[in-house]
Amino acid sequence: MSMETTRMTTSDKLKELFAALSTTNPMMAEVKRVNRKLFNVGNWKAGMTAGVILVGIIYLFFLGMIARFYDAIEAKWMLFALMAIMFIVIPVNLNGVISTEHEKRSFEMLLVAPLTPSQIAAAKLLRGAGAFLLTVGLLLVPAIWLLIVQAIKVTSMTGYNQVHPVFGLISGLCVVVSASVLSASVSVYISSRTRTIAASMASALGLHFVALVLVPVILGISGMKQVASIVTFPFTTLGIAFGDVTDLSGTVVGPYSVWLVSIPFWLGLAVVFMYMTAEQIRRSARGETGRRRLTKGEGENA
Amino acid sequence: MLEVKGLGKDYGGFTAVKTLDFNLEPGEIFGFIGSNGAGKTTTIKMIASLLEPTRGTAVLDGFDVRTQSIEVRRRLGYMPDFFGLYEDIKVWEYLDFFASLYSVSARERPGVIDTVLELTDLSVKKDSFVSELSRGMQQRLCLAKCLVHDPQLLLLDEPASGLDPRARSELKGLIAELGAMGKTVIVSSHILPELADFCTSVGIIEQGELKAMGPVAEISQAIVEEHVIEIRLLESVDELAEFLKEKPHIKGLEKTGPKTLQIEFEGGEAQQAELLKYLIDTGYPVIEFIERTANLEDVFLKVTTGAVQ
Ligand SMILES: Nc1ncnc2c1ncn2[C@@H]1O[C@H](COP(=O)(O)OP(=O)(O)OP(=O)(O)O)[C@@H](O)[C@H]1O
Ligand SMILES: [Mg+2]
Repeated sequence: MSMETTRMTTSDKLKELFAALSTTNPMMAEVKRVNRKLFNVGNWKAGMTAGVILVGIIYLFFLGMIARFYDAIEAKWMLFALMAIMFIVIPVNLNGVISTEHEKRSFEMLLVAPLTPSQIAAAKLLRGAGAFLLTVGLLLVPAIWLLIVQAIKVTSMTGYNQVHPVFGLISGLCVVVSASVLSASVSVYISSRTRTIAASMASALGLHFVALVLVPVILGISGMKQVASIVTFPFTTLGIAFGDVTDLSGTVVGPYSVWLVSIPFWLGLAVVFMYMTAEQIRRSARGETGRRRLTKGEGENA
Repeated sequence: MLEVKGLGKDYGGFTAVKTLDFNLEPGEIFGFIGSNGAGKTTTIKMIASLLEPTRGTAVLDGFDVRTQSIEVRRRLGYMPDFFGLYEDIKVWEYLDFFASLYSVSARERPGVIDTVLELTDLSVKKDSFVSELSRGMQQRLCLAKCLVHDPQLLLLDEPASGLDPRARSELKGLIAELGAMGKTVIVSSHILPELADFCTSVGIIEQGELKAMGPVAEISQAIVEEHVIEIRLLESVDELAEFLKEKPHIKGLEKTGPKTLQIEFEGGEAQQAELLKYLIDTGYPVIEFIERTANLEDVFLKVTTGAVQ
């Protein structure tokens, strides 16, 4: 890996990015630090109790759903719900990873450590993993259970394509996970571009809302359903994964094989955003981003 | 060890640091003095590899900050002028985090943490949350953080701001100790007397230009051409004043008290010794004969024009 942080070619930077993802990264201490921060709560008994109650409520909710809607529930909608929750949980969890450092002025100390920008970006992406997996895990376990019930039900009742429901279930989950990785890397990127926690939170949630709700709705209203189905791609591919070839707006979209392409597409886009995050950190590390507002004020005085 | 070669920085069309050239050796404690906006922070950040120089470079132990920044960063500890710490973890966890970033092995870390906590006098706070520390303690924790990887160069940007007098003098002691351990230290300040007693050399920067540099005593002498000698007698100095008026090398006389006299003396050390011998031989009851060297404050005011950028 090149030691240089300046004047690297794009392929050098990409190599560095993959090295940061695959080799030992001292920045993994970040994950530990955040875990400590989360579990260092002054009153851990109260925290534990609250946690247990929360888990209980979620599981009761899902049990109730199964009992009440056994016949009506479709696995697809469960996955939609799961993905919608992820798209809220992820930006909320990850929007502050770098903007907090800017706001609290702790970033310089990180930048002056012998780390590559990619290592910082990768660790910042992973650091939310603890809290993120916890949230998702809580939802995922009952959801998966529910989905399996659903898959078995479909198989035994209709007898159509025996493999399809389970296959669709697994692939649907893969779509959810890879789209979540993209959502996470977008959130981290936004965090690297903003200087306050409030701004990054608003931008991250706003972007998710605009991309996944507002734009498709507007496109749908204006009659461009084909385009809308592309914008709501993760949701669309979920539908496709279940052999359901219509998207949320009811438009028939693409052949069954489209969903196979979607996973590398999400992950590829995620890498692009991580690359852009690393670039942004690289610029911070060279002092190209700091003190913008102050500079302006000083310029006026001079 | 540290070579700064033609280092400079422009912000747009504005030149914050012109071109700096200096070398520092291990064990040297370099005081970097300048008024607000002189370019101290800009220079320190460039050496810390946190700011891309517009021209020139700095080389630490053979590694160039521009092209080998990772290697440079392994060898330096940087304490910014303004900083925040991660407040929601404990003091030892904070240090543990940074020790891991500098690839200190998990086995060595507990020992290293204890050592730096002891050096910075924070051992009792080891298990406290960072948010519970006072401002001065946070300052010291930041310094402790700079030491976890045993760096060769320490860049301390106004480390004493916000410290009480006692903590200040402890900090001076600590910095002197680090110098004695063979580390190179750059300390910036605009509080001048603060640096005089423990820096081995000082540099005075104004509008991005190094106006003077060298050991404290040396630059004081070089800049203040005439010496001020204070003489105290057992008796009134009136007669002495009359007597000295026509003597050579004496440029001015001033009675600062009934028994004390200040003279502006143009001669060198040999002439000074001669004058003292002459006074005693003549029978004046001399109690004190002191050369008042200009202090840093005088030097600073003399060197800089006070222009604000
Ligand atoms: N990001 C920036 N953009 C534009 N000008 C800047 C920037 N940072 C610093 N400057 C200018 O560079 C000059 C030197 O600033 P610097 O922060 O190095 O001063 P300093 O000696 O550290 O002052 P102080 O004692 O106030 O900390 C100032 O005139 C400042 O306005
Ligand atoms: Mg400064």
